[in-house]
Amino acid sequence: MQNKLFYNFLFLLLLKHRIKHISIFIISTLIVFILSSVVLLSNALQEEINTTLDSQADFVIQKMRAGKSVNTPLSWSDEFREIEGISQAQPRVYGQYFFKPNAEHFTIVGIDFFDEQKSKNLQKLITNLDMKKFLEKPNMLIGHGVKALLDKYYFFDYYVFKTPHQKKRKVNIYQIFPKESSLLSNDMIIMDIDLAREILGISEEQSTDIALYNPNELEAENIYVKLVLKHADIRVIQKSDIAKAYKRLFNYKGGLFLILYMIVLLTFMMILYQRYSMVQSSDKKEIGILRALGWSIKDVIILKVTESFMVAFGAFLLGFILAFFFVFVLDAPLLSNIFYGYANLPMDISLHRSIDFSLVSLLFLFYILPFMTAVLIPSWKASVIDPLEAMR
Amino acid sequence: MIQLENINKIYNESRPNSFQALKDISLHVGKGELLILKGVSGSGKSTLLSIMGSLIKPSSGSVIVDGESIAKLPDLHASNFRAQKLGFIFQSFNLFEALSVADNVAILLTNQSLTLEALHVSVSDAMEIAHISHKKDTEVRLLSGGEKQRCAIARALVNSPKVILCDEPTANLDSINSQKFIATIKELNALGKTIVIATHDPIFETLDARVVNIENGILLKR
Amino acid sequence: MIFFSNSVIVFIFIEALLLLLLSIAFINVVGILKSWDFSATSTKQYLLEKRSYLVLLIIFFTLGFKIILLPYFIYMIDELNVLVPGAMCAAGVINSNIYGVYLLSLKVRILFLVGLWIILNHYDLQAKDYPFFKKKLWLFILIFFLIIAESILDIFYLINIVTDTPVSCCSAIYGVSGISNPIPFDLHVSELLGLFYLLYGLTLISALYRYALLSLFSNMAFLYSAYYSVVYFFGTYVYELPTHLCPFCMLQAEYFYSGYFIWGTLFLGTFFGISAALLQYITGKEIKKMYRYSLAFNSAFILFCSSYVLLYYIRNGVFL
Ligand SMILES: Nc1ncnc2c1ncn2[C@@H]1O[C@H](COP(=O)(O)OP(=O)(O)OP(=O)(O)O)[C@@H](O)[C@H]1O
Ligand SMILES: [Mg+2]
Repeated sequence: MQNKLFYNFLFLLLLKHRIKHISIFIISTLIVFILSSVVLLSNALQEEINTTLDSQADFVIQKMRAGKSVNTPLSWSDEFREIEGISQAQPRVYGQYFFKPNAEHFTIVGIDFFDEQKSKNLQKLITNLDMKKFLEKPNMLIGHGVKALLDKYYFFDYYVFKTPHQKKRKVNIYQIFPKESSLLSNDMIIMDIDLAREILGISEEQSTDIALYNPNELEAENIYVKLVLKHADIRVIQKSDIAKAYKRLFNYKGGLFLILYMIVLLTFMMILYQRYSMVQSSDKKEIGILRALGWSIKDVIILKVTESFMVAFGAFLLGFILAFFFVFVLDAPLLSNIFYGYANLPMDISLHRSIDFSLVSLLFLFYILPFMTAVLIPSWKASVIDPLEAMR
Repeated sequence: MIQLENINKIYNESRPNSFQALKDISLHVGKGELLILKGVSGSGKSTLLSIMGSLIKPSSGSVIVDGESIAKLPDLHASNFRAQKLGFIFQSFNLFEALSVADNVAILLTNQSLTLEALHVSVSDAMEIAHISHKKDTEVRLLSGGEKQRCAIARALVNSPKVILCDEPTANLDSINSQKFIATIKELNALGKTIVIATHDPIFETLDARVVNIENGILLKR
Repeated sequence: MIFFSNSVIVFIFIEALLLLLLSIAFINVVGILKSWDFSATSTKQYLLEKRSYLVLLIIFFTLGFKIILLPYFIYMIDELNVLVPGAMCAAGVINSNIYGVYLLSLKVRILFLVGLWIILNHYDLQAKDYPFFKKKLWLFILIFFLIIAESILDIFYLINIVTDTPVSCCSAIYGVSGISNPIPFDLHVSELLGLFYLLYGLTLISALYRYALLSLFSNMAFLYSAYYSVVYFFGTYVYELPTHLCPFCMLQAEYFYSGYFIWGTLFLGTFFGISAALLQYITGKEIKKMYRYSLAFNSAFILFCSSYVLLYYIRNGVFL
């Protein structure tokens, strides 16, 4: 049975052999860091998307023509309000505005400030807003990405939009969104719904699409069928479809990453195996002494395996803490671009700190098992050397 | 205490480079006896000592130490036997240079279920007998040759062994330290330990002990 | 599609690594078995002894991880239950295709043999002449092939989990379907219970007087009857609902994870009872400790189960 002194001895040995372990330790830390960052980031984003989805409309209605969605007539929304189970029908106005100087797109969202805002994100953005003052003049709220771009072209207080009819429309910058909300609002501009119609070129009787809300999830299938039958040129998007699409995207991106990562791990295992197979004569001598003194092969194996485990565990701790810092304090620069490469402007967001135990244990298992697998045979080889020869 | 019967040891058996290091050796060492194994380099002294200490296994013959047959023990039991009953002292000290004297002495006990107190008592007792207590926290690499030897003696004594095996213990010592070592051996022998010393150092001739000569793996009859 | 869920990928990767290690051990075992001769004093024999340490190391390592992987497997199944429509607990996911049940019972059997192997190894190393060395290696070979079968089943099972058509929940799987009685031999619940306590009495006697053969058969029968008794009788008291028949739901937090205790003690009790007899045949020695453990765990199991019924009666004055 190993007692406390055994671990004391183990640490002394580790300290003494630190030069030998340092390269493995650094590579391991790096590997754990990369794995943990990706997993933590994708998990945090998934959470973010889940909460975003919670406040999304249950159905979104679009009018289709020639396979493309076109503006939806406002009359439809009155029609849908009649359907049993639908609590609210909200025509929405939004769209892309092409910012010529930089060849980029902004997303303009028009809001009917007298209507109740269902979207929690929009709600968050416009709380503490002095409605009266905001609506007095043509004003807008903009995201950080937009702000940065406008600054670049010296539009510090206002911007002059061009409508499709070549009319100029000067809109003042009223406020910039708080930073925490920027996953969605980075490239976003919020303004009054009528102003948005004008800039995007949508007529008074039309909207971009219609959002429908249905408090009872069990009714969703029934309502879906009713909606589809209403018009021939209708497209109905369900919330669950969006959720699935997101999930698939993440699982796909995550899965691709995992497979790449496994290749890295296998290579790393090969390196480990080679590294620990090289038993220097000084190491051999140490083992020979221990064996002569009365350590069994089993004891030496335990020593060697624990030694490697300590290195692996230390690297895991360090790598994980670094990843945590990288993702949640530094907001994962560079890495985040891989995950939301579909946005128009560079993202600038701060993620919620969320880690659960099962995730950490999964990471741990996924890294420690290959590591230990690779060092098992070298540990055994070192332990069974002939003590007499080793001491010579 | 130690009974060897018809021991043969062939290294690299059934290979072209096979070499018979011991030939038909029979030897009895009584309880509390002090035995000196004399022979030139390559005569097989270390091999014989290792067989007595169950560090290697004979190709044939029987080895009984303290009533226990050790010629074919599985590793777990052979190691346990060494840990319980044997003390080894080597020519080149074989200490862990980066560890302190006390840590070196304690290494053997790390795998046993002892309380920490019992462990500390054993370690300090052993250092006391070997006259090295005053350096117990010094790293071994800072010690002189004689002190290293005393540290090695303390390590060999920490499990209160019945048998102490020494392989050329004075080869790396000057004559003053060799004399000191012989004095310690006498003290240990007086404590009732069975001691076997493999050497070709004439300094041991001053010692009152049975001497056995070995040559090319054969014990010489006197 | 479930095949590409991240936790499944990790699970399969880990299984593959463990299988690789076990294969290395297997090759070594075959080599050792071929020329093992304890009485020989040749260099080769001593090398084989050293090689056997590699085998021991790998076996302990992989089997240790297998034990850690079992809760991970359960966690994974639980996570999948969100993706499998209709499943409320592991029962639905396990029964979502034909492989699930076989896989689970195979996993339990492997665990049993692994336990047996660990005890046999312990006694083998304790002796000074490796008395059970070959037997334990043969046992390892058996376990190795079972683990290969397990891995294949694992993959078949995971590929075939359906995510689009709803599966049955536990009540539908274990419930009385009206036409046929799900309890074997067409027993009534009260008859089943009588048998259950009777068999417990037999295991008690066999453990107290250490009758190997009786211990073997009484524990096997007890395990069988105990499974049905828990599902069809004691479980309903755990859930406090006469129609809730399920061996899995009790593993959930809602029921304070009591299922782990119930199934755990039953497994250990019968394991020690059965392996006491098996080890007696293998080693030729009577191992008193095993009978004692069997007695302790079986009794803990039966006390725990019965206490649910008793407490319910004390609180409500009626039985379910
Ligand atoms: N592992 C081995 N393989 C082959 N030959 C060996 C091996 N170990 C020792 N020998 C040979 O056996 C003979 C006896 O060796 P041993 O170490 O016992 O000699 P020794 O008497 O202790 O010599 P020294 O005084 O130099 O230590 C030597 O000739 C040596 O070359
Ligand atoms: Mg020598």
